[in-house]
Amino acid sequence: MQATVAARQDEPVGGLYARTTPEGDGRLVKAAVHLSNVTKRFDDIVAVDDLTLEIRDGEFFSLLGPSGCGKTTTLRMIAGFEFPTTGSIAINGSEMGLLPANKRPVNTVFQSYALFPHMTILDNVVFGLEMAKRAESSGLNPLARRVSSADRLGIRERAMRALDMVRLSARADAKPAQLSGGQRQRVALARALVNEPAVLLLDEPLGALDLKLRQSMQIELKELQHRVGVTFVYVTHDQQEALTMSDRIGVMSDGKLLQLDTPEGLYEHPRTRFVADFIGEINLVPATVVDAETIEFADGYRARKVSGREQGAAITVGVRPERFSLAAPDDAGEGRNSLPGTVVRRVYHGDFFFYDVDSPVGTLEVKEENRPTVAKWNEGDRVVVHWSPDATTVVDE
Amino acid sequence: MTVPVETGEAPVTPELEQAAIRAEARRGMLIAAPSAFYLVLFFAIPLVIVVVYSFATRSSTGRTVLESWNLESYRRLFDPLVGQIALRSLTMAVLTTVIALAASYPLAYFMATRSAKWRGMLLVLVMIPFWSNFLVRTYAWRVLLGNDGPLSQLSQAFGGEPIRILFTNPAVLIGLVYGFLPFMVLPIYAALERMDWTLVEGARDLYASGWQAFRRVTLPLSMPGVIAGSILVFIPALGAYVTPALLGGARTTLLGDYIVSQFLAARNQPFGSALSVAVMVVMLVATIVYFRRGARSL
Repeated sequence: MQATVAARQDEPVGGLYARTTPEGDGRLVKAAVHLSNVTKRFDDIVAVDDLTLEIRDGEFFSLLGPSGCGKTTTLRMIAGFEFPTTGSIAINGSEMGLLPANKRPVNTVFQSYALFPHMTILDNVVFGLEMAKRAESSGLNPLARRVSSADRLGIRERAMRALDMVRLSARADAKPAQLSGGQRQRVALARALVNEPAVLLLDEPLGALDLKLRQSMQIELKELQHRVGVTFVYVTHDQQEALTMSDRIGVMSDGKLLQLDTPEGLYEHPRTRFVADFIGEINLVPATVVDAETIEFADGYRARKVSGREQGAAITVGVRPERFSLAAPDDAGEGRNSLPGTVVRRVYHGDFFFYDVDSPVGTLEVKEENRPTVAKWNEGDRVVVHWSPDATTVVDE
Repeated sequence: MTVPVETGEAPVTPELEQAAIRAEARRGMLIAAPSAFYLVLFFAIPLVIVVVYSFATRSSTGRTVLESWNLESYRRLFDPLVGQIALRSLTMAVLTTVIALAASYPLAYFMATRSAKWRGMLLVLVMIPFWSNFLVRTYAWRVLLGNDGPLSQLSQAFGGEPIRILFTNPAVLIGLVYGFLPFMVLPIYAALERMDWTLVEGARDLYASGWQAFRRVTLPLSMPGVIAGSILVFIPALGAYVTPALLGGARTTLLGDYIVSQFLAARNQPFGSALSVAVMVVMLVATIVYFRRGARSL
């Protein structure tokens, strides 16, 4: 329900958008990035297909999708490394056109970090500030592109503060090769953020780290974003990462934006089979609409669900494994939907059990918590699968 | 303390371990023996002969007498004529290196930034000259640069003077640059091809213009290639013999020429040897210094 309310707030009000960040203060904010009808072709391949997208000021926005879905190309177009074949991109309200990367108010954290191996950590962080200072002081005369020693001191100080922010000021004189993967990652962040970009672009920045480090960096990144208040555009193929960090997520496949929603909205109400499958686990079952509140599965089993579709329409419904619960066959499960079945497999995962239940509509995957209050079942047990009508979601093919 | 492994094998003692290391070393030496033999026969022995000869005496008939060892040949190195020739050779070698570098870097950059398919093709094109004899190719330049050659004819066709460049220093320079160009292109190409081009995007992302990104990132990271190429061109250019002999004039003797003439025309093998040793030592020292400095700048 909340998703539809949020969707209504998406309507533009004179180029301004209601802020739906966690603060939820309802202020009207400008779009940080606006892509309109952006298409990118590489020879015969359409990498990005008619993409229209608003990224709000100050939000943590993720582009999520499998490799080759066009998310990185989208990011590179915002950065200015690629240019749209058709369509346009605006940052902070101004058209980017064919503006090269060095003239755009954005900075990128690359997947490989792209730290300059021949410079110290401090020189890496100083680089952007120095280049910006040169560009600003030059006018048209390249010979005037000098940085005064006073400026240089100021730049160094700012760079050191940025390194402080990522707790690496002690390693300022080290070379990138002397740092661990996580440290390099933090230098890359400091190097980008020190320039105070309007938008920070991150291209799978945690991809090269091991799981534990990745998890702690996820928290650190989210906190950092909150503290600096910069708009983050984060590209990832890891749905868990996107769910835990983002304010909103755009799911892409084959160059198209399939669904744009909050993490909760995406998980609870995936609109397409692809999104449902890509984000988390889901049981998808074909059904027919009987009336406004009832759907029917194969073999005449019925369930309550307000589908909003016309009578007789063939639909696919999805239920997350953890939304199912198992009960003894005689349990009526008041007010909940139910299907009879037999446990055919039980997999122990420590904190929970996975059951495969053979039912008239196919094999259902059920996830039950490992708690004393939750009944345990064995292979061969006759059971009934319960779920609430709210937990049922209608999915487009 | 060594812990016995539970396979019933005898515990590994330090003595046994050392014996194993020695056996390993023996096997290694056996494998290296053919190349070691080759090096000794064709590199070390001639080198030793040259060094020994440089301390020998020349008899009045031009034979090398292997007794009454002395430093006479080395004393002659300080002859003003030798200095003049060495300076001329050095100038030539430096100019060759600088021109070859200026010509090679853009070419190597162009090659390294093509797609994989084109890169292979361009690489073959650069190496094609190696398929024919160096001497033949240098003779070809004699035709090209000759007084009635295509260059001269072209100039005359446009109403200009005939070009008289053959047997002058510029002709030698052209020949040297031409001959050593691939040795400059290939290491620079290798360095650029190996480079992570995301770094350039990183620089552009941090507000560097195209030129600044090149100056601050691409160029420093390709320095190992530039250094290797410069050494590969400078050293043979300094000792070049064939090119100056074919394209140069009689009055523009270079070190290579001069050394050869000591062995053949002047029949003064000790002095020729001393010259060779001196050139070798100077180049060795220069190379070491160059590499050290290059390594530090990275």
